[in-house]
Amino acid sequence: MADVLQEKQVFTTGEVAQICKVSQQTVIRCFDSGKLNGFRVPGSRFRRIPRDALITFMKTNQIPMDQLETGKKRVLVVDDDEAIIEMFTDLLERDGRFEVKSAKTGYDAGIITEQFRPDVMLLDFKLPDINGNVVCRTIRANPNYKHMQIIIISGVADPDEVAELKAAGADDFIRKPFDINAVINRIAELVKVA
Amino acid sequence: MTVATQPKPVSALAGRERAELILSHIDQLPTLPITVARLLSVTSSEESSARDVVAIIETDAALTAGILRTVKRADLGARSDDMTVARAVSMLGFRAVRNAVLSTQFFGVFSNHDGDETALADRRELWRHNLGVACLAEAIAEKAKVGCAPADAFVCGLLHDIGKIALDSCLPKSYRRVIESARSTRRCICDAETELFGLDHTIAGKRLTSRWGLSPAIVECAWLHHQGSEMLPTTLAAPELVKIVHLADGLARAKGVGYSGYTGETDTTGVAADLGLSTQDLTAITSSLTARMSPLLELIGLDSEDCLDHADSGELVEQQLRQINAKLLEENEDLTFRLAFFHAIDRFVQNLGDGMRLSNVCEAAARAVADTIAPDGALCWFVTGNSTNIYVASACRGAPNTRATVLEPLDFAALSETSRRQRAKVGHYTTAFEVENDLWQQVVGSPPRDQLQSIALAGDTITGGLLISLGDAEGRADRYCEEGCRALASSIATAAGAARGRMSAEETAEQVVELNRKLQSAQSEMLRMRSMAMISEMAAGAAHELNNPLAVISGRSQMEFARATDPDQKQAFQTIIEQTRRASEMVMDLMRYAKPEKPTPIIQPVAAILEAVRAHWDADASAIGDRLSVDLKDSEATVYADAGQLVEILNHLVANAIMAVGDNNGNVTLASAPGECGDAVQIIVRDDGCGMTPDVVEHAIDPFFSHRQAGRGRGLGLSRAYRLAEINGGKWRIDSSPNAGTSVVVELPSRKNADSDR
Repeated sequence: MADVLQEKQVFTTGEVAQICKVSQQTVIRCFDSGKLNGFRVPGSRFRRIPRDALITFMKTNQIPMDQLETGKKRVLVVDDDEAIIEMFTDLLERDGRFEVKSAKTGYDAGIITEQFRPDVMLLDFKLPDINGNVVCRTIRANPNYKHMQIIIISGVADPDEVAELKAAGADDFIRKPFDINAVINRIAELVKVA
Repeated sequence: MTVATQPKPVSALAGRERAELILSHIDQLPTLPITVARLLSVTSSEESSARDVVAIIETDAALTAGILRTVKRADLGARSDDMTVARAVSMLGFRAVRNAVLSTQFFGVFSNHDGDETALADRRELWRHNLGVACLAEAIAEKAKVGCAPADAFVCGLLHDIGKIALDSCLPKSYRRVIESARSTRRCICDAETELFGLDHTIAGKRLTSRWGLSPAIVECAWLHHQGSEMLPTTLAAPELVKIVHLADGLARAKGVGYSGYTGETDTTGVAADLGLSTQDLTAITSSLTARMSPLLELIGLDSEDCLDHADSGELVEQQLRQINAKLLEENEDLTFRLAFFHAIDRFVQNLGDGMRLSNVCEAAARAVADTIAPDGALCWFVTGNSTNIYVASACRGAPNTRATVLEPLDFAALSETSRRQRAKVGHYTTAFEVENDLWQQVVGSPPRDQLQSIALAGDTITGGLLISLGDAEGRADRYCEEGCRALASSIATAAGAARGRMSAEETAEQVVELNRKLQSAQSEMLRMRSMAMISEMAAGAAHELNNPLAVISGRSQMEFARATDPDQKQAFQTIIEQTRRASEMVMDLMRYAKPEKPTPIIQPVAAILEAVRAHWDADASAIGDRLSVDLKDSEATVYADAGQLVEILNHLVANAIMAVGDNNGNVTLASAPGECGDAVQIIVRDDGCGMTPDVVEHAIDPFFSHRQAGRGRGLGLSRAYRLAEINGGKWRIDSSPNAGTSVVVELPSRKNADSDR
């Protein structure tokens, strides 16, 4: 059950009651009073709550998120180099604390971010379609992702470029090649996992 | 001998009336001197008459004196004290004496004049003509076998134009007009005479000779000497004489002996043929003329310019000659002086060679002027319009060398002003100004013996001057030759202008070459910068492309290292991790070389930097320990550079030096010294290692260049150090030769200034 809920994007008032561990009536009251944003199914009176609105509602009212999340931190690896993606996926999944998805282009990175809502993005600076700094800036322009951490991982180490990436909103910069332990420790530190 | 008072102006009377009046004047002319009359009467026989002639002459004291003087002048070797008329006659010959006496006497009759020089000159020319005709007639009579006595022919020739003399004596002013009119309109003088007087000189001559009671032959010659032989009346007493005189007249005119007014051409050949004379005869006759005439001219005094008083004419002439001579001498000296200027120009032009510079022109001018005009030396100076230099050259006659110098700008202003004032005031030539006198003393070394003369040499862009000392020749300093000076000055100024033009062309060419050189160096610098940018770009690309696989290799190895339990396996993974790190470092080095970090320069003590480097190597495990020493000359010296980068530079150099020293127990010294230019300091890394060949030195700073065996070092150290020194405003120099060690001298700014603040 919990696994299903974690994948869903739109919830019924019953599901929201289950996740928030309150009665369905409370949920309906909150929905009707506007405290919980959502919509009614066209042609009926059924209420539906999108995942965003639910998360906002839960964070606002300090309701524990355990039912909505797996407990693992989501990491999106954006790199055009398959070997790098495979290595990071292998590394992070083997660690056990992370759930990993990957994207090979800036465009893919955008789409997957929307669905996967990663906690951390490992972003290569040089991408086939757009550069990492643009991806970085676009994400930072959206308040929905203000909690997302971005770590630039690049073979380029021009101090000027690093400075520019930081200004674009990157939380850290790690140069390739790297010490794998240092990278994992840094991710864990940023997303506050033990 | 004066003309009687004229009752009316001649020109106011009608033709016939006028003629009569004039004839009456002629009648009033003095009668023939008795001497002449007597001489003419003894012409028949030479032998018997010599005594008579002598007697006749001796009755006339003036005539005697004249004859004796002629003999003396003729320089016939006779002593003057025992000279007698008889001896003179025998020496000169009867004929010569008689002719001379006749000529003198006739000339004497008409030698009146009113001080009109032109009239006098005309009269003299007329007498010359008469004498010439007389001599020619005599010669013709000798040659032509027509039975005429040469003595008679002489007399007839002498008196043939007596009519002109008569008219001139009667009416001198009118007769001048006749001559002028005939000369200017080039018509027969007879026509001009008839027009003005109503009669011509032939009529007047006939009248006068008749009145004097001369022989019919003389009368006929005076009357008919212009008539061709075919026109002569048949009743003549002596037609042959008339023809002879006619021919003589024609020859005299043809030869231009004297002047008697134009009368039209005479057919000399025709008349000569009539008298049985060939062309050769005529030539012989004509060529004998000078010999016949000269003694007569001398006697009468017609050979001198002013000869009215025969007795004194010689002395007069001598006196005048003396005056003329003195004047000529003076003029000659003056001309010589003027000519000297042109000689100077000539010499100057000779001295000028091709491709002369202003200083050469200056010297050439001084030399030329010293050699020609200025015995005491000459000084030439030039300033140029856009220069504060003055070229000065001086030369002295006899001294082979020209002294040349360049003066201080201070003198330039004063001289320039002087030149300007000269031009404004007196043109080209003046007495030297004080500043020029000073210049003379300064350059020549001794004061001029005489006043200095200054010639301005001024053109549009050139100002200059020529100073000359004319020496102590009397009055030379006061001489003035503006044309000479002007010509000289413009010659020199023109040459100077040309030289300056050439020099400025040369300068321009030199500047162009210099600019080209700079451009070339800028281009090669640009090329270097561009290749630097390319390397940077390439390194950045390489860093990305290489670092990805390196990251994968390294990452996977780290994961396997963590899982591995076998120590050998662990070691193998460790090696892989280490080598990927090294490979990555290499790429980073290349990138940093191509695009170094921007330096943050500060002023710091050199001593501190050197100590930091030594400490670094002391701590290094591979260091050579006490073989690295610091030799600090000036403990106060500072350097303005990025501290970290400067240490890095020195570390690279020391690393290189250590490698050069190798295991040979060599030493490495870190030293400092004052920079070659002002605010700079030198830091020197010296080793006594193997040294480098020039070829290696040349490529020492090229990236990845290593003359050592492959695999030792990455070859980026010196390149990187050079780049860092460069961006810190430094220069460096490598002094090295094989087996003599190497010194790398890095010169950096010692303090902050505009140039070093990059």
